[in-house]
Amino acid sequence: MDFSYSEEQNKIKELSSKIFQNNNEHELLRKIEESGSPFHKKLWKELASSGLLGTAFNKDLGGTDLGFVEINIILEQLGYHISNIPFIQTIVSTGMAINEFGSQKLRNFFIPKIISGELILTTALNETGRLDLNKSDIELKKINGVNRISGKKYLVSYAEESDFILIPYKDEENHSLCFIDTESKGLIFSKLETTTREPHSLLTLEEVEIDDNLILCSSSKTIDVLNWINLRTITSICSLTIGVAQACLDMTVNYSKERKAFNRTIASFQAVGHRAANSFIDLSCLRLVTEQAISLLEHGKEAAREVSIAKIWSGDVAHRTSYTAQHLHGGIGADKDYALYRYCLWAKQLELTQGSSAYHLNNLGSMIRNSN
Amino acid sequence: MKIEFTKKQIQLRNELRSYFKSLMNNKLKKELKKGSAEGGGPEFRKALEKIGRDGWIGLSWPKEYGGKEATPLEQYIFTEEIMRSGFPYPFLTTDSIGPTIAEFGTKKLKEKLIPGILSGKTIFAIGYSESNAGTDLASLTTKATLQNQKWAINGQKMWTSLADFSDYIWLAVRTDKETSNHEGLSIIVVPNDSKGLSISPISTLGDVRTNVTYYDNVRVPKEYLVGEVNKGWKLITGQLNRERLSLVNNAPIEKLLEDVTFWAKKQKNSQGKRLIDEKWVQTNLARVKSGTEALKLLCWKQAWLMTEKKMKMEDASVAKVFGSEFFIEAYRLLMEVVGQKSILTKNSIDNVLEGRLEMLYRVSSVLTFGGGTNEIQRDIISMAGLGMPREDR
Ligand SMILES: Cc1cc2nc3c(=O)[nH]c(=O)nc-3n(C[C@H](O)[C@H](O)[C@H](O)COP(=O)(O)OP(=O)(O)OC[C@H]3O[C@@H](n4cnc5c(N)ncnc54)[C@H](O)[C@@H]3O)c2cc1C
Repeated sequence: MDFSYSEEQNKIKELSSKIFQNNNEHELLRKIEESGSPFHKKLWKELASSGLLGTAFNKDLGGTDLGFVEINIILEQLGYHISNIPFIQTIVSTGMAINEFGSQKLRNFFIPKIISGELILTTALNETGRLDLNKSDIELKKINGVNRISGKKYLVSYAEESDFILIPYKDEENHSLCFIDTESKGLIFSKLETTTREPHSLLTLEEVEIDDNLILCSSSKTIDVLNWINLRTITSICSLTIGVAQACLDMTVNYSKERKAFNRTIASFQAVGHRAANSFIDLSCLRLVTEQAISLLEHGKEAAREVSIAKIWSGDVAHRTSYTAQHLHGGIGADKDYALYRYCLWAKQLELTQGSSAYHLNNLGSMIRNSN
Repeated sequence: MKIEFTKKQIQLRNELRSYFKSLMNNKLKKELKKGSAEGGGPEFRKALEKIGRDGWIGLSWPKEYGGKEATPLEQYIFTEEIMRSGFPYPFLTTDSIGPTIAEFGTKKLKEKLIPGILSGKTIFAIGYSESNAGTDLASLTTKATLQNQKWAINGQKMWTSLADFSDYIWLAVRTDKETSNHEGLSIIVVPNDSKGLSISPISTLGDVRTNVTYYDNVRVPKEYLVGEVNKGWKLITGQLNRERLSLVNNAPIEKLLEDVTFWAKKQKNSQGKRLIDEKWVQTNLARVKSGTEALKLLCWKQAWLMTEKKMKMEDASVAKVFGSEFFIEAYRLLMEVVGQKSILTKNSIDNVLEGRLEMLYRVSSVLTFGGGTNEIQRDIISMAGLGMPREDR
């Protein structure tokens, strides 16, 4: 058993932390958020030139051949210096899936350009705004000999910023997963506004043509691939949350040691110290359950329950730490000239993305019921 | 014991519910949605003046001011219904500052201010907090000195909400330079159009606009000081106690629960199963319901205790702590029910319940540290309610 990071992993942590920190200037981030289509492109470029976008990809395609542990190390640092980039979307939910399940052709087509930062990819898995992963009302129809799909996809993040979107659809008996070029005819994007301003769209597909060369998988295997993607996406959200919550707590601790009331620092009030300590306990638990999920996934083990457990903690801790930070800051925490508000927005968004704690508790309960 | 309203009170509730329903016309709703939810626009002003004209502002005011002398129970019903409607009623002006002026103001000040308050024409902002004086309000440093029968005010206030459209600021100042604590403070009413007063906005997490207000030799007449010089602390704490009660009214959360429940009955998944048929969804709704009931009863009992003049010091604190923390929990539980779409804002297409939850989760923390922070309220509960010794401070 080993809970530690290797020397190389520590280096990735340092490198990514440095890059995120250098691009975390408050006024710049606010400008990006208010731009209408927030995507910190400069940061994305720097990640590409540092090689970090290639972390999880094979050497033959230009990657560094590391794994999911390293990806999550980067994600935690991103959470700590939160800003708008499609890291989970492009690297985890699609890139890693292509690396794992794609044909050599598909891998050659996508992965080098992901690593160089030229291609942005995302997934469109939500249909009702709720999690209903194994069902798709997007149906394939052959029209004049061409395969076309129609339907609606909700809350597609970075849809308009992406070059390709991975979409599941029903293909007779089975499901398939295929990339759709965002320039395709029949794709309609309706912009949504989310609490963090992370770009999201409602996607309408009207007889969009399927390019057979861009099919990631079909047949009965699709459900397994979708599961594979979901488990890793959810775990990535947990890592991002750890960073966000840790930043909330660190800002709170630092501020409370400076802020004075009644001629002493507010940190010296027992009620303040205890509340911060509760966040510390929360974060310790969240970190461990997330590391367990990462480790199991990295080593190819069954991890459905552990991922749900991590997401339950992640939702709870995101919520509690955010409100602890807001409360202990007092008014300044709500002031948009101070960075905390951004973390509070992300805490709530991450809590509700890919299933809330309540949803996953129910999910875990079903798994317990069905076990022998 | 009979924990029910009388027939007459229920009648009053019904009357008020339909009154506010017609008051909240589309123009007003649009104005509140577009601009600041705290009001201040022309439609808001028009509606408030109508409420004044129709005699509702004076509901619990003494007859000598043209009020109806209703008991706190009727006043509570009024508060509940207006909060349910979503109209940003200026409670602080009508229920807190107004009565304080009536009790302590000079005759001239009363004549000048009270008719405006009761007719819905006058709105106050509260200027207590400073950047270095929040919970520890008594350390405030904005000062006023008497020069030629006028107060000359100098200093800076943080978080002066509503000051961007209010008519007056209810300002806490230091009038005795020798002190640095709660002794030597006074309350002065400052007209918003005073020379030397300037305002700059602070934008917040909740999109609630609030302000920094600067006082550069602002001069106001001597009689604008309320009560006695250097005895302002009593007015401040009295005002804050009154405020505490209107902060945690149960009506908005009750309405929200109804709306989310209704919504969840309409949602179906791909197998045709309704969202509300999920056990965990029912559990979340039930949690909100059980909390709402407790809050409702805390509020009802307080209104009754006030009517009977039996309020104890800890009662308001119990409701404030429970209410403010329950709101945060309840919004969370309801957002879980709605799912990922609950993060869509009021401006977004495809949002749920006009993005209300997305807005509420962002404003809810202010109640836990504002209006007398919950740590201090818990101190009050352990001291006054439980007889435990006070921590050295
Ligand atoms: C949106 C908004 C609107 C506002 N509107 C107004 C307004 O209209 N008028 C106005 O005057 N003010 C207003 N305020 C200010 C509000 O009243 C203050 O934020 C509040 O009093 C807390 O003060 P503070 O922000 O300085 O926090 P601090 O007093 O610095 O408190 C920070 C933390 O320390 C804790 N703490 C402090 N003392 C103790 C203690 N003795 N024991 C344990 N814990 C302690 C607090 O609980 C809190 O968690 C507003 C604030 C906001 C955010």
